[in-house]
Amino acid sequence: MIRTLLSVATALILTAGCGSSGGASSTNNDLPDFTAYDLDGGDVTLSSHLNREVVMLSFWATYCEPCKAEMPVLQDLHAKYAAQGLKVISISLDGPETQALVSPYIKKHGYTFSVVVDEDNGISQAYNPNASAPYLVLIGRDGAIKKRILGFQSSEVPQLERDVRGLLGLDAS
Amino acid sequence: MAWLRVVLAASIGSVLASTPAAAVEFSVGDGDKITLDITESLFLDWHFELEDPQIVAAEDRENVFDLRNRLNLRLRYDMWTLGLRFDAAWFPSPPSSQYQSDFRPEEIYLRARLGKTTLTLGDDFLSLGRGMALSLRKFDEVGFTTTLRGLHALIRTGRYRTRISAGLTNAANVDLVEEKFVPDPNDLIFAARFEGTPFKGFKFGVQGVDIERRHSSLREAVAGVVGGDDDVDPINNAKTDRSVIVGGNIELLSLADAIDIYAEFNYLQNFGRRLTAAGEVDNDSDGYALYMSATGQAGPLTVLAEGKRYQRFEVASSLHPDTAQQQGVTQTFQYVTPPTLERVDQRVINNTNVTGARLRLDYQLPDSKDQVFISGAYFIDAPAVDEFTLHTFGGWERIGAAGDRLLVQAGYRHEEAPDAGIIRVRMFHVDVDWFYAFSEHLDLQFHLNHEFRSKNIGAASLEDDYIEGTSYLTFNVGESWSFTGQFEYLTEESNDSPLFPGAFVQYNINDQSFVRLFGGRSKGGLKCSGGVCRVFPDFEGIKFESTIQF
Repeated sequence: MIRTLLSVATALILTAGCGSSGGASSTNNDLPDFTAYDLDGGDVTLSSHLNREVVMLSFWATYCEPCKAEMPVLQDLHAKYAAQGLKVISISLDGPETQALVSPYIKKHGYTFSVVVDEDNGISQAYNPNASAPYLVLIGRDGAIKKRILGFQSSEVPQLERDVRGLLGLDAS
Repeated sequence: MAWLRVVLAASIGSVLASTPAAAVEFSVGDGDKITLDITESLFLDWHFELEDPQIVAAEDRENVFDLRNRLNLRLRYDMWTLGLRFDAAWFPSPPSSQYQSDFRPEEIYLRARLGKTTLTLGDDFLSLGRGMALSLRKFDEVGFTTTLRGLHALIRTGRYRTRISAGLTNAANVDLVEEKFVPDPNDLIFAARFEGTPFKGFKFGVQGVDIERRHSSLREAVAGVVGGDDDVDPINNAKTDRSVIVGGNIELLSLADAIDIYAEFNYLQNFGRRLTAAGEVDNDSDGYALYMSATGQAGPLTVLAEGKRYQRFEVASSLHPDTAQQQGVTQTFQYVTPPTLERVDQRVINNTNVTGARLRLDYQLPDSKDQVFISGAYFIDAPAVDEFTLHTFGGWERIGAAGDRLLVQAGYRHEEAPDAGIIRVRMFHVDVDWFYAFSEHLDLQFHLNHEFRSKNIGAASLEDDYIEGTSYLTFNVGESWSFTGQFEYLTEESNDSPLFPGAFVQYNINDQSFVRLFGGRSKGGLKCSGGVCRVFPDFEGIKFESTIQF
């Protein structure tokens, strides 16, 4: 039975690979929407930014050390490119037991991008089913997912910036 | 070697499926389309020797193979989302009846977004307030995932939000930690929360939860309809009927542009019966949980103060009588996760009858992004009644350019039973995390945790001084390759094999899919995440893991 299941799964994956609409040419205007509280009690709604801005969803947690290494990079990108249309939404996977640490961490470092807490795993369920951290989703101005990055490698920061610049229509070299 | 063919097929599928980030789309006319997202995770273990003391015969523990698979599918069309997760486990030679080959749709949900209302039929996660009234979440770190399978409504109206849910608790039956089969608790839960922000800077929420447990007539009726189990012989002659939790929270944000305050209180009432020679007698109990936090910022100084008082506040799943009595599986699931005020991986033995506080100060050094910090916590009735726990640590966080980061911290923990004259735990710990890029396409990640531990000081026959630690060094080469060396140790007297060397190789097929191979030994023991703890078995052998996303 398991062999059958895996054969079906493998076939499905292979079929999916062949039929994928693929990379920059794909368009997708119906990504799952979400609304979540930011740290000041206001609402952050994804659909308010889709199809207008390049959106970066960054999943992290206060207990995830690689995530904390990535956050200054996000702040740097936010500072450089928010005016050109980059919207960074940082999504904390902290559960209730560590949620109190989220706000102090963001404030002490002076991060100014949007930060929300995924209280019910609802955002993860839509964009990060394994609830991995760090996990980054880049969405182009056409509302399609262009790149997903599992984990953080500091040596790949220049490539990330080139990706962002490319999606913003800036010189990516 | 059927298992080898399966692995090779899956691996080849993984490698061939190296496409850019995109979902699969199907046109359905008039420009409409159905989108399919796929996340496929495969785990394959070869235990040279399975760590399971319940298996007596040594030959039954040797060379145990197992395969576990998770396939997440999500179909989206217009306002509709259909989510499916299929779990599978396969043991070619199960070492005992607790290890079962299994295949099942573990999660199923159909979600409709109707303007400001979201309706979900099927499995959904649910967390109310700070998880004190209910917290059904994904807890992969300790192998727990519990959903509520039923009907869920989330309604937004201006500044207010209402959530109503009803259903049966559904746990991940294939346990990723012990790899044993765990039955669903099937407790029936009704939950509701109303929250809002009536004006800027003020939030509030009220909530109520009714858990109809194994012996409630309502739960028995519903579980009977869905094929639930009977409980002819209750464990320890105790019948559990209901748990009811009511509570609420308030939150004041940006007071004087610098201070945030959060406070939450929940009251718990348990209803049950005990079977005695004279017949059934009531076996009710109650409890409560109070939690408060305050955050403040003044220039370079950030302050976090937290306090908690939990009394008899234990809300876990009902024990499944069949598997508990016949197979020895006694795993239950936490339904609440109140804040611990501890480090996230701290071994917290008691978070149900405890009073405590934590104060943390962070200070940004002048002309720098660097921070120094100190944290101190004190708990009464922890780890047990009339005992106390003290934990303090401090450190330095250095933020470099473009993702370079160094964190160094050290601390001391003391758990004492003064009446018995015993120091239960005395621990000094050092932790280092370092991220450094040598150049584009080459960086390292280093982690070190070292603990000097002493336990049961004052109880001569139980006293033990030992060291415990975990360290690993990873080199990331380009976007595709990662190489990790890992070294763990535990010199506790009861452990006759104290060293745990191992190595990982990871290949990233594309930016969202990878295959990973581990060989060696890894340390088990009690591991915790956010106050949820469980004992992990040691591992010795080879692990293969792959995750593929479309």
